[in-house]
Amino acid sequence: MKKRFALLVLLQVVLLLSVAGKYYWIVATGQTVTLKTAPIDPRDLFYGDYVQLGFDVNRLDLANIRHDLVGPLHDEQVYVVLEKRGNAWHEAVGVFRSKPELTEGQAMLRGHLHYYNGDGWRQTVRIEYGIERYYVPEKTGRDIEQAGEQPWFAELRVSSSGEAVLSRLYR
Amino acid sequence: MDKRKWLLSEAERWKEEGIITVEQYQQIADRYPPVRRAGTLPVMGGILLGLGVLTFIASNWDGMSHMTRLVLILASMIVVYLVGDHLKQTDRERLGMAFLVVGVAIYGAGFFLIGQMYHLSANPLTAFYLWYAGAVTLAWHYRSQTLAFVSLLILSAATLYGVGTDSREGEAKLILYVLYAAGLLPLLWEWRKGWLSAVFWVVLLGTAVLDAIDYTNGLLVQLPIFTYLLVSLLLPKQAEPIQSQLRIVSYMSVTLFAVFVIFFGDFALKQGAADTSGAAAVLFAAALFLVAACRKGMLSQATDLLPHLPLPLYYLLFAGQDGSMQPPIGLDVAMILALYTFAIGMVLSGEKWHDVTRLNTGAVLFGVTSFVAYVNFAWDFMDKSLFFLIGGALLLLLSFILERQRRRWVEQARRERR
Repeated sequence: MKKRFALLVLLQVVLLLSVAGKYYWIVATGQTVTLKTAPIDPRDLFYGDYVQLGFDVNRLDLANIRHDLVGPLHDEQVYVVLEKRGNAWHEAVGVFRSKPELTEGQAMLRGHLHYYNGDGWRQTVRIEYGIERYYVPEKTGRDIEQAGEQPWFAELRVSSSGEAVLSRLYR
Repeated sequence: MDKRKWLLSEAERWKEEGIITVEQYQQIADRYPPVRRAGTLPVMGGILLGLGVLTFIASNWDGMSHMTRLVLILASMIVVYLVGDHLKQTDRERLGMAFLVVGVAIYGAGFFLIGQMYHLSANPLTAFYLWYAGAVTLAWHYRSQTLAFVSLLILSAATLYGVGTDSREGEAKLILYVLYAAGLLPLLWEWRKGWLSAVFWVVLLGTAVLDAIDYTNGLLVQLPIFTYLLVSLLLPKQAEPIQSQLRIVSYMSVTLFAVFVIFFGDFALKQGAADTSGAAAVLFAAALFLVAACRKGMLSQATDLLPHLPLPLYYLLFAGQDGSMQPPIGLDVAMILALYTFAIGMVLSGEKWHDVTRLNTGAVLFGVTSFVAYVNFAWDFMDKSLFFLIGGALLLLLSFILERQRRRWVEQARRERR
């Protein structure tokens, strides 16, 4: 009885630690990626205040990048290949349904393709990466949101499987 | 007065009257040792203490490193669990349980705090599912209804949290039902006579209805409600009282659904929402129900089908290509007629089987239907004060007649049962 209780509590500790550990690992060992973004500010009942981030890489115009997507698609896992193109931040250069081979200087994000919008000559996709929320201390979200037009940058750590953790927001 | 006090005062009298000896009195007293009960105050105190720790951590959060936060959460969780378990071992049942519930709360808070630390938003429901896993295994460990109830609350929170997010699309919806089935169903089977079982069926139906609303334009909502009815008919005798719980929940929900259709049915029809495959599914289920009822010799229960039929029939028979419908009688009228027949059928079968619950339910349903019918027909063309005046008078009259009749039926049923 005592042993089983100890085991159950230990299991809860392990579950908490493994979730925390996974992201600790990504932050500690992941590749650094910088993205351009713009913040807006809602709140969540369980997680508290956060800033909702809209990244340039959330909406991709398929005409400008390499891809293997054939529409109509929705709710698909995709891989987005990133590269610095002369700027301080990374930009998307490709989006694929199967895990792509990366060349020197490239990084990869695993994302969730929400919808594919293909009307004639212009095809865009909406992709989310699970990094669209930046949690902030209570009531400080507005400050970030209303701090002017200058763009924000998000620093990420990305694991080799493309999972990203948001580590810093700055400008 | 608690049972032990009552028993001992009675036994005292037996001893004085010479029915039992002094030794026997002592044996009885020893057989029922006093339960050490915690009052409400220490329980509240325990909860406040837990909340205090949590808010202290939360308000000093920014100054702490990730590691400190994690250690604090884990340490407070383990301490609270150990205290709770110790109190339970030493017979302080309620206080111990209060601590365990606080422990479960800290455990859940841990996932949200980790989510905050790393700015996670990809799979918000995973936190709820892991939280539930911890809570429900403890419920199993202690065979605790309180912890099972907490687990049920966590899953309900997950349901509501998931509404409108894509973590509850497609196959992701299934996870929730698997968790319900694996974690809680076996426990509920054990405690099927208790209140928790009834609460569980209501919550489960609520979840299923929410999911069904997502799928189409409203009709499939009937399927889970109908499934309850069908399952209650098919379950073996040992499952009692699950059958009656399912049936009552199903009756209440289908009445609510019918009232919704009566007031807003036109909207559903005009939207071109005719979902013919859903309609066919409901009718197929109805046929299954009839066959099962026939084989069990309970064909009088067939009137239970009636409030389920109008909407699918209207979809199948009168749905035009453009979504407009020209039925011979309005859907609201058909639904009210169905509800009346449903109520009367309930009373008649109740009389036949001397089933007091059916008699009472039927009487209540009849009253509700009359009220809904009156509102539906009189609201538009009557002066509002006149509406309430006549409505009130009619309702009083109806309840008086119905109540008198209902008592007569119930009395008769009880007499014939003996």
